[in-house]
Amino acid sequence: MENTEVEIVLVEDNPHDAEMTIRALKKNNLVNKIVHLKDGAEALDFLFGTGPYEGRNTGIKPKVILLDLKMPKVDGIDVLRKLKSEASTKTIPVVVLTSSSESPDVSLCYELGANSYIVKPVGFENFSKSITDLGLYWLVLNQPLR
Amino acid sequence: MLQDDKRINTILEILLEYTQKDFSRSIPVSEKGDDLDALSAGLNTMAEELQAFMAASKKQEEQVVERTAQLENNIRQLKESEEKFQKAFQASAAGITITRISDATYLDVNDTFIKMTGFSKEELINHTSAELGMIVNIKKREELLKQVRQKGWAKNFEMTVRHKSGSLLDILSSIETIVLNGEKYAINIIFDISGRKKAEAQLETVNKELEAFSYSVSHDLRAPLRAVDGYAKMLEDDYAGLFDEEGKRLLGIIQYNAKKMSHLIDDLLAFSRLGKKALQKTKLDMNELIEGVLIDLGKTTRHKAQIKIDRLHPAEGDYGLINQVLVNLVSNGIKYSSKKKEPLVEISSEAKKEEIIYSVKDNGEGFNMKYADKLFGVFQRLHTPEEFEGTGVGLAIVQRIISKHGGKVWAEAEPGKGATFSFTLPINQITIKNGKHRS
Repeated sequence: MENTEVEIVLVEDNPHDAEMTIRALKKNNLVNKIVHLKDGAEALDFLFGTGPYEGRNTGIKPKVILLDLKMPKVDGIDVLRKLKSEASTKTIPVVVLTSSSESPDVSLCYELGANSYIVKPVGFENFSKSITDLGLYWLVLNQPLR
Repeated sequence: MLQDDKRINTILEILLEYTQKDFSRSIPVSEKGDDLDALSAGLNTMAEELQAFMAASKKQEEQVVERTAQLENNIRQLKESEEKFQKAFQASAAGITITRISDATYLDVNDTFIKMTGFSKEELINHTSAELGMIVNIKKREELLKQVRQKGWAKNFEMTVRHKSGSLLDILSSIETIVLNGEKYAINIIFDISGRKKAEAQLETVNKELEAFSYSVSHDLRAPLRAVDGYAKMLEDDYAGLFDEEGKRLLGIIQYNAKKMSHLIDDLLAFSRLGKKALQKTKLDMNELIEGVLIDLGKTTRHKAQIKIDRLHPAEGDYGLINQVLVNLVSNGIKYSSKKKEPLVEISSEAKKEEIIYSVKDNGEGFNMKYADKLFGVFQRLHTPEEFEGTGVGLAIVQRIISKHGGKVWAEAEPGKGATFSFTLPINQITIKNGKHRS
């Protein structure tokens, strides 16, 4: 699986948010190839082909990375900083997902090069709609760098 | 000859009177024109001149007395003023120093300054603060001295100085210069603001903690809530066929409560955010504001209420916050009159001497005035959610915003007949009365 094409990388520590996100994306037939990574450390290993992901073909870039901010070990800000500072990953669109509009990190995320910043709606219907919309935008409408 | 003797006697008599300073009589001069007459005339002229001289000298004497009294008065006033200055100098809650500008040495210091710095008067006089090791930031002191030398004054200059014991204190210093015997001196009024600085720092910490708290409330409470709502929805989507009516009802209640809790979190956060936001006051066209509010409300709520708006007085306040007040009051009016046949919401204003009263009146449900004090508390409600939806935060927000603006909020109502909510906004925060600032 590691060497096949990946459309979306979802970095999310909350398994229920992850399940709801994947469900929303799949239900609308937007995507089939989602990789769910459970914290920042695992995300970096996957994207840079290190640790348990040693040998993965990192030449194949996801169309978008959905990145939660608040995570154990390496948090979303650190993942974002690392991704946007490395030549091999900095062109991958990163959509920051957060549970709160109170976050003090919005401006920091944009400064670090986040492509989008989305507050997860509480209600499932709105949440599904947001995920569907952003899936549609980044997977269908957006023209990625080839 | 006998005649001449008599004349001489008269002359002597009158001359004797003259020596008693009695110039009422002048010496008679006969028509003979002899020597005695010439003498008499001469004496008369002398007497007149003497009289004039005496009058002048008396006047001068009086002037001297008056001048002396004036001088004595001046000296007394000077002494009093000196005493007043000394008393003020010593009794002042502020530390006061008088320093020679040329070499920055202390000429005099008061007791408060002695207590503040821990140095004795002897240690301070004729020495400089730098010599005594009081200065923590030399650059800052140079900056202050430079300003005093250039402008002759400095106002509310914050500095950190070292107490004799080595501990640091924050001071607020204001300086004026005076000239004594051609030498320039600085009078420095110094307040110890260490306590205030400490309180400010603590307040900032508490504010930061509060911010972190509300962030974590909004973040950490939302995630499980989203799961509750989301998984209920998944059940509904995927297993609807397996649920009977009762099962679907129970599922619906789970979702309803999840949404309600989400609203509570939002409102609570909005309420707590009010505390940290500083007011940004501008002139407000209240009619324009109300129009905007009605357009926004029309997008989110369907209602059939008739809304009557008077020509409203303009106000001064924070645009966003006063907008919020109007949204809350008008949407309440619409909500609580929604069960009437012809719901009516009236918005009016009335100018008083120092404030403007704005009122939002509805013909709706109203309430019993004995519960009026509960209206403005957080999460306080007078109706059940079945009667009227709501979280009980709207009016608490209104009150908080209006009191931040220096106004007040109140309500008048009658059960079944409607309610009127009124608030005031001061016309001008600093009102000048009889030419004097109100304290």
